[in-house]
Amino acid sequence: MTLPRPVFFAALALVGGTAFAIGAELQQGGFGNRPPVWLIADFLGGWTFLLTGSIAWIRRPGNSVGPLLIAIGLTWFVGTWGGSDIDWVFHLGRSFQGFYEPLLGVLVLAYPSGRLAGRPERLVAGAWIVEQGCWMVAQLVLLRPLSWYACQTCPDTVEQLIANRELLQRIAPISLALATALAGLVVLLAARRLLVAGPAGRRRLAPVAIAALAVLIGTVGAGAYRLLVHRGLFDDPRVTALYYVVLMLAAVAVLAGLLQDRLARTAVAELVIDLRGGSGAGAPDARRLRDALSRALGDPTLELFLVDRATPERFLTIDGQPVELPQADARRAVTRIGEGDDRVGAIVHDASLLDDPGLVAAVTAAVRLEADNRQLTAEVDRQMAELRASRARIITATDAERRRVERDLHDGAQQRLVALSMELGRLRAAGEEARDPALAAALGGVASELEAAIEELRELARGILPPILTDAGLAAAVESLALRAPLPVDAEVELPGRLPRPIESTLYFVVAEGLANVARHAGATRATIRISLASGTVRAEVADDGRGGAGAERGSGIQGLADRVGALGGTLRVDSLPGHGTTLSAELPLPA
Amino acid sequence: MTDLRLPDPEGRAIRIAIAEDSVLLREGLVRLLVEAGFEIAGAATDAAGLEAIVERATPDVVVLDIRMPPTHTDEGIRLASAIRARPGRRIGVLLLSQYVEAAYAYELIQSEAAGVGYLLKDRLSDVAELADAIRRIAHGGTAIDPSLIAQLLRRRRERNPLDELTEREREVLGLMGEGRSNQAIADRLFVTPRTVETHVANIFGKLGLEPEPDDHRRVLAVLTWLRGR
Repeated sequence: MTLPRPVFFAALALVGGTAFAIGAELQQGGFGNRPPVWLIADFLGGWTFLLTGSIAWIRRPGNSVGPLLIAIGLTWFVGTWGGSDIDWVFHLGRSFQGFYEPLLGVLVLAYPSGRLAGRPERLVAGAWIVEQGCWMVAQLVLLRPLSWYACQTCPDTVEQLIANRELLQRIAPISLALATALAGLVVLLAARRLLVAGPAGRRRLAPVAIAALAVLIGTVGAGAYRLLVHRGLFDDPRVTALYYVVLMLAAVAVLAGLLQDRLARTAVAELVIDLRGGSGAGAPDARRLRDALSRALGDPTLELFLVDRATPERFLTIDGQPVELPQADARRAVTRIGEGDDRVGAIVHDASLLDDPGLVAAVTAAVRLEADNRQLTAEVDRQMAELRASRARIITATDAERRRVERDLHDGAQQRLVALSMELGRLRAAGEEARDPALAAALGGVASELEAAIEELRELARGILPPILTDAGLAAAVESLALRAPLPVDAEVELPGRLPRPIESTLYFVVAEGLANVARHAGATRATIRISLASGTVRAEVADDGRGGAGAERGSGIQGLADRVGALGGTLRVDSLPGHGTTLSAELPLPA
Repeated sequence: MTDLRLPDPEGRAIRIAIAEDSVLLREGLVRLLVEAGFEIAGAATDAAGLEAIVERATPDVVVLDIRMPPTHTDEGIRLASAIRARPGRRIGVLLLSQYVEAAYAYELIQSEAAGVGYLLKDRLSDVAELADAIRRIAHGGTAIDPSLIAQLLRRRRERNPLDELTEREREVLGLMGEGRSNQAIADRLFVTPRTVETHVANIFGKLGLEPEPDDHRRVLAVLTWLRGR
C-alpha cells in the first residue's frame, strides 16, 4: 500500500461511514422496529472492524489480518443495505448479509499469522466461504425482495417477491445447518489450538478465544436456535447487546494482539543489547542467554541447548550436561540456531510462537549474529595472543642467540687471545732472562696491543649479553653497569630473587640504554636506577638530573627497546620535561 | 723481584690443581706454572675432575675457570665455595675469568676463610704477577684483580671522600684492595714499610674505617667501602 497512512485511514473511515449512512438511510424494515440506539450499535460494530483493521494493516503491512478485519467491516456495512426498498440495493445488501460471518471464522483460524496454517483450517474456512457464496447466489436467484429466514416480521407483501418459495424453503435449512456446523468446527479448531498451547501461547491466543466466542454466539448459537427452536436468538436484545460487545472486543483484541507481537519484535533489539551488555569479557553464560531468549519470545518455558564444541553432533544443556535434543510435538517446537559448521544450538519453545515465524527467526538470527561476533572476537583475541606469544618467543630466541654468540666469543677468540698472551708472557720472561732489552721492549709493545685487543673483545662480548646477567641475575648485572658508568649512579634494586630470563634481559637493556643516554646527552651530574616489584608488575627506571627535554626519539635504541618491552606486554616511557631531567622507565607484567 | 724458582718458605713447592676446559689454556697454564716453580697436582677439564684431584692430592691452591662444563655459567664460584668449605687443611682458591664482576668478588671474600683470588685471565700474561698472587693465596692472603679495584676507585661519587686522599694514598688504597701486604706495597712503591703504615693509617682515618689486623680483613673492609655508597 503506497498511499500515505493518514489518507488511507481517512479514506477507509469515509467509505465505511458513507456506506453505513446510505444503508441506514435506505433501509426501512430492519432497523425501523428498533430504537435508534441499535443504529449506533450496528454502526459501531462495523466501524470497530474498519478502525482496528486499518491500524493493523498500517502497523503490520505484511500480515493479512488487517485486510481481513477491514473486509469484515465493509461486508458488515454492505449487509445493512438489505433493508432498502430499492430493488438492486436490497438484493446487494441482502446477499452480503451474514457474509462477515465466514470471514470472522477465517480470522479465528488465521490469527495471528494471517495464514491458514493447517489443512483442517483451510478446509473448514474454504467450505464455509463456499457455502456462504452458494447461499448468496441462491438468494440472488430465488429471492425477489425478502427471505423466509431473515424477515419473519416483514409485511406479507414481501412474500410475493419470492420466486420459488418451495425451493427456497428447502435450501434455507440445509444452508443454515451447514453454516452452523462449519462455524461449530471453527470453534472446535480454535478450542484445540487453545488447549494445546502452553501458557505463553494461550496468552497470545486470547483474541482467538474472543473471536471464536463471537462465532459461537453469532453463527452457531443463532443457527442452532433457528433450526431447533424455530426462533431468532437475537429476538432477545440482551443477547444482541452481548454479541455486539463480544464482536467489538474481538476486533480490539486482535489489533492489540498484533501490536503486542510487534512489541515482541523490539524484544529482539533488547535481546541483542542483553547479549552484549554487562558481560564485559567472556561469553554470557548459557543461563543468561536462556533468560534473555525467554524474555524476548515471552515464553517462560523456553529451553536452550548448546552445541557441544568438542563433538558438534551433540547438544548440551545450559548446565553443560550432554543431552538428546527433544522431539518436536504439537505443543513444543524445536528451532535450531545456525546451520552446518555455524551451528550454535537449539531452542525448544512453545509451538504457538511459530504462528509468527518472523519473530523466532529474528530472535535466533540475533543469537547467531552475536555468536558469530563472539567467534570473531575470540578469533581476533586468539590471533593477538598468538602474536604476543610469537613476539615473546622472538625475544627469547634473540637472547638465546646473543648468549650463543657471547659464548662462542668466550670459548673461541677470547680464549685464543688469552692463550696467546700467556705464551707471549713466557717469551717476555725468557727475553728478560736473556738480557735482550730490544727484544723485551718489542715484546712489551705486542703485549700491550694484545691486552687492548682482549679488553675490546671483552667489552664487545659484554655488550652482546653479559654473562653476569645470565648467571647472577639482574641486580648483580645492574651493579656492574652502575660501577662502570662515567657518572655517579645510585642503584636501588629491590627484587626478591630471579625473574624470568626475557624480563631480566629486557630490563637490563633498558637500564643500559638509559645509562648510555645519560652519559651521552643529558648533561647530568648523577643518575638513579630503581627496580622494584609491585602487584605482578616489575618496574625499572633510570632517572637523571640533567637538562631534560629529550623526545622519545632520543637514542636510536629507544624504538628497539620499546619493541622489546612491548613484545613482553609492557610499556616503555621517556619522561623528559626541560629542566627536570629525563626518566626512562619500563613496566613489564610478570607471568601469572 | 723474588726468584720464582725459589721453593716455598716451608721448604717445598706449592702444589697446584687446575680446572680449565680449554685445552689451549689448560696446557699453557700447566707449562707456565711448572716453569714458575710450582708443582702441578693435576689438571682437570671440569668441576668433577677438579674435585677428584682435590680429594686425591690435596693441593695448596686450586686454579679454576668460573665458566666450566656442564652449564658454562658460574660453576667455578660454587666449586670454590665447596672446596673452601671442606674440613681439614685449608685450600686456597684462585678464580680466573674473562670478566671480573664486583658481585662475585664480594661474594668470594665476604666469607671469613682467607686465601682467595679473583683475577682476569688477562693476568696470565704476567708470570711474575700470577706467581705472586698464587703465593699470597697459598699463605692465606687475597688477590683481587687490579682492574676491578681501579674500576671501584674510578667510580664517580658525589662528595667523594677519595678526593681527600693524596695520589700516593690512592695508590696504596688500590694495592690494599688487591690484597697486597704492607711489605709488598712497600716493595712495589720503593718506600719503607713504615711509610706504608703511615699511609694506611691516614687512608683509614680519612675514609672513617677501623684499622684491621690482617690483610684479608683489610681487603674486605676496603672492598666494602669502595662498593658501598
